Amino acid sequence: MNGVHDMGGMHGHGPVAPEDEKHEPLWHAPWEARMLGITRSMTYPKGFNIDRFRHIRELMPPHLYLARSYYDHWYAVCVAALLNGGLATKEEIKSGHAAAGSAKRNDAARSEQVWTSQKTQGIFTRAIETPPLFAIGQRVRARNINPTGHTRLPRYVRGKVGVVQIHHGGHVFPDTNAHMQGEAPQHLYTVAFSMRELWGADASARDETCVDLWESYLDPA
Amino acid sequence: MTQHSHAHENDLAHRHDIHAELPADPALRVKALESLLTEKGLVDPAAIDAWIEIYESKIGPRNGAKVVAKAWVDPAYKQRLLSDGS
Repeated sequence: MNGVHDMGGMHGHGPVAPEDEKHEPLWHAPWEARMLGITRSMTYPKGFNIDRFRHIRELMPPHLYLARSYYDHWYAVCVAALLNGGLATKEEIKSGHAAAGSAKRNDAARSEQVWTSQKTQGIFTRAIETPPLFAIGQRVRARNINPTGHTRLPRYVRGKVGVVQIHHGGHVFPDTNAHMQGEAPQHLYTVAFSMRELWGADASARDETCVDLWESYLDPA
Repeated sequence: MTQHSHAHENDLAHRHDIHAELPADPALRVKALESLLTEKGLVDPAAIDAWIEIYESKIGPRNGAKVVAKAWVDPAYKQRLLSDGS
């Protein structure tokens, strides 16, 4: 979707102000750590996945998306997942307490499962039968598509020509997975676009931007 | 799924206009969320502690610096990292 999250190339948000690497804290407040722990360990509606998490994040109302910090986005996604999945009610989220008489589940992830989860979750490579359509060094054009659902194809590369730099093999396709329509794995490529191709004659002549793109985002050029 | 139904689904994602009714301070909201999830058995606070511990001690830049330094002096380790960085 062409949402508020797809900010590449936008002006007017002020300078990027990176924190001093030596003194950058892991958390800026204790609640950020708790929110990370909640997000990693809470029980989600059946079929929920990381692509769905990202899509719900980009569906945040733009005024909230722009005003709230990183882990506060995670809060909004978890709340949306709980409400839409029927796991909690609005009144419960507001009060911080379970409604009287509601059942307590006993299947939450336990602390001893955490390290195994970290080691085994987050693997999105998949075996794929079809040969890759594109070869390293080949010129490709990103399709000009504007899906209302989730996509990892940023607006600023659509219609632009780049060169295939790396072939990563089969990967879960976020555009279907985010809508719980299956993993539908596709070949994934790193495609290099020259800055001049993306931003015109005023851009650097020697720099390029590399974007990981799924096969169905691309045509031969 | 059609474009139309995606748009419909999108409208529903944050349909509960709840954020205007919640405290502005995220510390209060997150504390309430953790209490609620614990009461409902949707989260185990010990698992939250364990995730924080992992991110503070096992994952992240501290470990990354060690990994890179080892790769400088151990060519076999470097090759392993290049073929599978995870």
